[in-house]
Order: sequence, then C-alpha cells, then structure tokens
Amino acid sequence: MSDAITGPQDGSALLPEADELYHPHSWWTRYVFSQDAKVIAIQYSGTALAIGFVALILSWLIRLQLGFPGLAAFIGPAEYYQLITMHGMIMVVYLLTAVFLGGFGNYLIPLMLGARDMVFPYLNMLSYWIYLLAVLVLVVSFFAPGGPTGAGWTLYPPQAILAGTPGQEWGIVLMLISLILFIAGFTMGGVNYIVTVLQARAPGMTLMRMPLTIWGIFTATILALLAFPALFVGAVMMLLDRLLGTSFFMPAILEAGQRLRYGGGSPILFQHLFWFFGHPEVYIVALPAFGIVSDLISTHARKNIFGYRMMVWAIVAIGALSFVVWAHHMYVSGMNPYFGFFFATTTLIIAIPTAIKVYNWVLTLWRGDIHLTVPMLFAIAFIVTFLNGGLTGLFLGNVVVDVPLSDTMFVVAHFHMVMGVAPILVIFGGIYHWYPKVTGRMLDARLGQVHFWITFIGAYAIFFPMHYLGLLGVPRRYYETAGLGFVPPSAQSLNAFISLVAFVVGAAQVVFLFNILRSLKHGAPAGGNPWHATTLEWQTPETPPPHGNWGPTLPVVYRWPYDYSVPGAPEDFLPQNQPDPAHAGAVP
Amino acid sequence: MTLVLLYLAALAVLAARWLGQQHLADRPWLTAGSPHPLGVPTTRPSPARLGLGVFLASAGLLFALLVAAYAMRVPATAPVPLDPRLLWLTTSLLVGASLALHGARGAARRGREDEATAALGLAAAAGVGFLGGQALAWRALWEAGIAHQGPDAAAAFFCLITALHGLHILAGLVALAWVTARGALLPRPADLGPSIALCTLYWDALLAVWLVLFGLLFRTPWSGLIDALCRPG
Ligand code: HEM
Ligand SMILES: [Cu+2]
Repeated sequence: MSDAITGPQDGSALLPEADELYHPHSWWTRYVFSQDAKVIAIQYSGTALAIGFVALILSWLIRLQLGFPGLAAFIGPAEYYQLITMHGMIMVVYLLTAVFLGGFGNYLIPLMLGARDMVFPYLNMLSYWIYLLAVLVLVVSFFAPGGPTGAGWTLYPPQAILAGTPGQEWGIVLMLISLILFIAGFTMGGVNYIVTVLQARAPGMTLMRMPLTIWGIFTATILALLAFPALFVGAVMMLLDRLLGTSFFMPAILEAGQRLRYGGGSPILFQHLFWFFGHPEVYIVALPAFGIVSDLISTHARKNIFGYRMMVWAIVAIGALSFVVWAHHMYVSGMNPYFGFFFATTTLIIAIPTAIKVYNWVLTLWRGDIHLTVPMLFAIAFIVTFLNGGLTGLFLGNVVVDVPLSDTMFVVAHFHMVMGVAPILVIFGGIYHWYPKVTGRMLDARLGQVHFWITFIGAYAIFFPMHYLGLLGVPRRYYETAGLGFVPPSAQSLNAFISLVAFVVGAAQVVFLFNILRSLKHGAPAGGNPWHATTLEWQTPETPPPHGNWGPTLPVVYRWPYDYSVPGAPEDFLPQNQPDPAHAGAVP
Repeated sequence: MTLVLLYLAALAVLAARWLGQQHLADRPWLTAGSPHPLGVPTTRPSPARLGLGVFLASAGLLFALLVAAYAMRVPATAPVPLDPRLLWLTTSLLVGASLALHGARGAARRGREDEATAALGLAAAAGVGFLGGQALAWRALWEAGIAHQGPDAAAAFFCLITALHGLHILAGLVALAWVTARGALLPRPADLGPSIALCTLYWDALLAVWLVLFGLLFRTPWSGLIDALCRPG
C-alpha cells in the first residue's frame, strides 16, 4: 500500500525516545527496585509461582485427609478448614490474578504493543512491592497465634469472625489486611496497563491489530478495576466488625450461650459484595487465558485466528455480561426467586460468546499445520478442559439443577476444571512459549512433554470423578464423610484414588521447576524468534530485550498479528512490522 | 443497587462510545499498511489525566457500592445521630476548595503563577478545614459511644464512609501541598497548569462523591433523588 506509514513521526509514538527513558544506575535499581516492566513481570511471576507452590502443598494435605481420613494426625477439623481456605484464596487471588495481570501483563503489554515500557514505571514498581507485602502478610498469618483463617475462601460472615472458626484471632484480620493491600497494589498496576494500552501503542498498532492476548489482558484489567472495589468494601467492613464491633454484616447472635453485642447486620450483604467481585474475578482470570490461548493456537498451527473480530467482540461482551450474573452463586441464599430467574438468564447468555470462542479455536485448528510443541499441547488441553468446565457451568446456572448440587463436590469439579486447571494450563503454555524471549534459551521439550502429559491426564483423573461424587451428594468442605448414610463406601475408594493421583501430579511440577532452572544455563539457544511468530515481542533487535526494548527507533506496525502461511511470503509468515512482502528488508 | 447499576451503565455508555470510534468492524486481515489516518488526535488527554480518570472510575464504584450497602443495611428512617449544621459547614469548605482550584487553574492559564499559588494554598486550607470538621463529627459520635456499638449501623456507616472519603481527601491534600510548594519555590515560569488541572479534576470528583454521600446520610434538598436511586420501593 502506498500510504504505508513511514516512521514514528506520523504515528502515535507517545513514549520518549531512548535517551529520555528512565535509566537504572546500579545493580539494585536494575534487578531489585527496577522500574522496567520486564523485570517487574518476572518478580510478579516468581512471587506468584512461589506462593502457588505453597498452595499446591496445602492441596496435598487436603487430599491426604480426604483420601486417607485420620492418617495424618496433625490435620484436625480446624486445620482442614485452614487448609482449604488458604489453598483457595492463594490460588485465585495471589497466584492466578497476579500471574496473568502482573506477570504476563507486564511482560507482554509493552512488548506486544511496541512500547518502550509502561507509561508510569514508578507506579508499576510500587505495585509489585505492595503485592509482595500482601503476600508476606498472608504468609505471616500461617505463623500467627491460632493460625490462618479457616473461614473458606469466600469468607462468609458471620462464621468468618466468630470464635468457633479457626484463625478468628489473627488469621482473619491478616487475611483481610492482605486483601486490602493486594487491591491497592493491583489498582496501581491496573491503571498503568490501561493507560499503556490506550496511549503507548507503536505507530500503526490500531486496536484491531492488537494480538488477542492484549485484548484479553486489557479487558480483564478493566474488570478488575471495577470488581476489586467490592471486595475492598467487604473486607474493610468485615475488618471493622471484627476489630471495632460494628455490625455491618453481623446479625444478633448467640455464642456459647452468650449474646454477642452484634445485631442487625446482614450476612447476605457480604455475599452480594463478595460475588459482585467474585464472578468478574473468574473472568479476570479467564479472559487473559482466552487471549493467550488464541495466540498460541494461531502461532503453532501456522494459521490465522478464525474470526478475529468475533473473538474481540466476544471478549468485550463477556466482560460486560460478567457484571450482571453474580447472584448465581447465591441461589441457595434465600433471595427472591425472581432474582434467581433473572440471574439464571444472564448466566446462560454468557455461554453464547463463550461458545463462539470455543468454536473459533477449533476452527482455527481445523486443517491447520499443527505443530505439537509443548505450548500447543497446553493450549489444546485448555480448550478441552475449559469446554468441560463450561458445560457443567451450564448445569449449575439453572436454578433447579443447582439447588441440589450446591455445596457438593460437583461445584468443586466445575470450578477446578474451568478456573483451576484450565488457566493453569494456559500459564504453563505461556511460560513454555515466552521463556525463550525472556531468557534467550529454550525450555527442554522432552521434560515439557513429560510435565504436560502427567499434568493433563492427572488433572482429569483428579477432577473428573469429583462430578460423580457430587452427583452422589458428597458435600464439599466436609472434614470427613464417614458416617453420612447417603455416601456409599465406594466414594471413599474413589477419594483415595483421587488423592494418589494428586500426589503424582503435584510431584510432577518439580519437573517443570527443574526445567525452568536448568534451561537458564543449559537450554538450547533460542534466537530471536524460535516459533516464527508474527507479533512484535519476537521482533526485538535483541533477545532477551534490553531496557527500552527497541533500540533507537520504535517499530512501525503494518499488519494484523495473524499473517501465517501467507502464500508467496519468504518464510510462511509476515511479522507485524513488515511493510509488504515485496519490500521485505525495508523494515526500519 | 440501582445506583451501582446506573454507575456501571454510565461507564458502559462511555466505553461503548469510545469503542464506536475504534473501527471495531475493520477487517484487519485485508488491510496492510495504513488502514486509516493514524495522526495523534489533538484532543487526547495526557497520560496522567487519563490515568487519574481511570483511577477515579474505580474509586467512584467503591463509593457507589458503599451507598448500595448503606441502603441495603440501614432503613431510610434511621438518620445519622449528628447535627447536620456541622456537615453543612464542611460541605461548604469542600465546595470552597474546588472553587479555589478552579480559580488557580484560571490564573495559571493566564500566566499569573503567584496568584495561582495563593489560590492553591487557599484550597489546601479549605481541604484541611473539611477534614477537621469531619474529625469533629467522628469525635462526637465516638463520645456518644454509638459509632462502634452494636446495631446502630447509621453511625458506623457514617464513620466508615467519611473515613474512606477522608483518606482520598488526604491524598488530595498531599498532592496539593506538593504542587503549592513547587509553585512557591520553583523559578518562574513553573508551568503549574497541568498539575493544577489534575488536582482540580480530583477534587471536583471527590466533591461530587461527597455530595452524594451527604445526601444519603442526611436530609438535604437532593436526598429524595438519592433515595430514589438507591432505595427502590
Ligand atoms: C458458561 C459459563 C459458566 C457458568 C454458566 C457458570 C456457572 C456457575 C454457577 C451457577 C456456580 C455456582 C455453583 C454453586 O455454588 O452452587 C459456579 C461456581 C463457580 N464457578 Fe462457574 N460458571 C461458568 C464459567 C466459569 C468460569 C469461566 C470460571 C472461572 C474461570 C468459573 C468459576 C467458578 C468458581 C470459582 C465457582 C465456585 C465458587 C465457590 O462457590 O467457591 N465459572 N459457576
Ligand atoms: Cu460465577
């Protein structure tokens, strides 16, 4: 095209050229108190994965109790509640949210958009350090007198702050403070991601040329900025109920025969606040996963993404709808039945854009030149797993089906498939995919395959049987089910089987850890673009990209990110910053 | 809840209008090169202003949710046990701070930086006065022993809501102090315009939030409207 852009001057290059960029001067400001989004991304991911490993170990202990009740003498009912609470909260908030937005967001937004860095680097650094503080407060609660809170990850009052609940003294207080810190830190990062996407894109990078990864992260960030305030309000109010004796959530209540001085509070109010945050939260995790999977599939099947526009619209639609479905978590809370009808309808409507995305992924794979690389294996596994979890979501979205299934293992199976396993698969896929850019070296593919197959098959062996347990009526959050007349003994054998698999899958993650560490030194050199991908992060002049990313001039974008298998192109793909195949080599 | 949904709807309208200008119906796979003119729109806000706007959108929802929680928890017939005249005083101080900031902004635009610095100082003083007045109200409630005792949620909500609002005011005061100090100490021209504009936006937003909160917690001429928005039926 003759009107192709010729240089940064006629585009919207907002960020200063290299000499105006903040420059780290010492080892400390380069690697520790760094304001470079790439370093911050690694700090975020490292911290999140570390605390995630803690949560993995907690899940082992949960399974130890469920599979072999009484075997571990140190797990009593109180400890059991603490285990499930901390496991859930860490995984959802401190691992998934932090990795997708703080980790992938920080690394990929500037690089994929052709920016030099985030727009507010200092704020970005602060965001990480507050996140770290939140994690530390959470860790401290394990060692506080009385241990961490055992209120369940949903922290429902009144029991969350009553004496019968473990961690009532310190645990719940530290948990709430940690959440408040997390939200404050996230808000700083979130403002940054949004302004960067809106204003720091390289010349030629229109919104409709952004990789879907960025669309997913961008929309999820907006959701987070609108969902976290609800959790913030809930956390502050509960903290006051606990510390000052206000009665925002606490009704008149007797404890050991004594009337507490609470009265008139509304526990349902907390549930509304929590789920006003909680449902968007599941899409805060899911939307970046959707985006990343789209890019992995397209790259490793050497095919343009099917229905790019529909994919973008679906992300936006899902994001908007996710704010009007929260009460599907409250069907059994005794709310007005008409509300149930309303929320069931909106819940089922979300399935439409979600299904469109699944169809488009499958159609992208259809007759593609599929390379079964490790990232691709994880991406395909995500589609299958997400589909599975989405279908059980449709069951649960209907009030009449949900009421008997509520609070059974069926719900545990649903959300682990859809929000536990599926996004984790994407995180693994994303790490195998981008590790070469981050370090300049490939991860070992053979170890990756071992890691993948054990994790994927294992996750199904763990969570698929839980659907049956749920249908049998086995309740969730029970320390033991022995003696419940309606639970047949066979449920116990199934539980033992699930636990054994869980131990294997957990242990297999060591393979992943080993691979990451070993490949730092011994991985095969990756070169700048090992997957022959089109997006900008693979076109940096150096790998790993140095501070400022692009050398003297910003890249200029000439095309969308999915030009794969282009007929006549010299290499079967055209990077986004390549003007025209005919002029190849004229790239600035 | 209606207020929260209306707030979200307003944001959705803004987002939809913006998305409407982003060529979402483009077929990006057909157009290589330059699909449409990419010149920098001249009206584009500075990154700091956009960032502040995004933050305020998030903080605004925080207060909308507090309002919804108040409406769900406290019956309309249970007002905060406080003399509203004190609150009218603090409200007028907050209005004064906003007016002073608008004055400072105008002065900075005309290049009268000393005048602008003086107006900034005035705004900061009014802001401190506002917080002082709120603190008096908290003390009155605390001494009456109702803020933190049992079922009287109206007083507890008053403290919670005004404290969260007050924290935002405090942050605004820090920013004001910083800009004022720059105005007083830096050699001319200190180019205060952009920073003053940011402060003005922030303080105007906090004033708007306060007016809603005030109308919710006390009987004001606009309380009927707020009740209609957050207490259906
Ligand atoms: C079509 C899509 C979906 C539908 C219709 C749906 C529906 C539901 C319903 C009705 C419940 C409540 C079950 C109960 O407590 O009785 C539920 C729970 C849950 N869903 Fe989904 N869901 C969908 C997708 C997702 C996605 C994409 C995620 C996460 C990425 C997710 C994560 C969760 C979680 C974490 C819970 C359990 C929360 C708890 O009680 O601890 N869901 N889902
Ligand atoms: Cu939900």
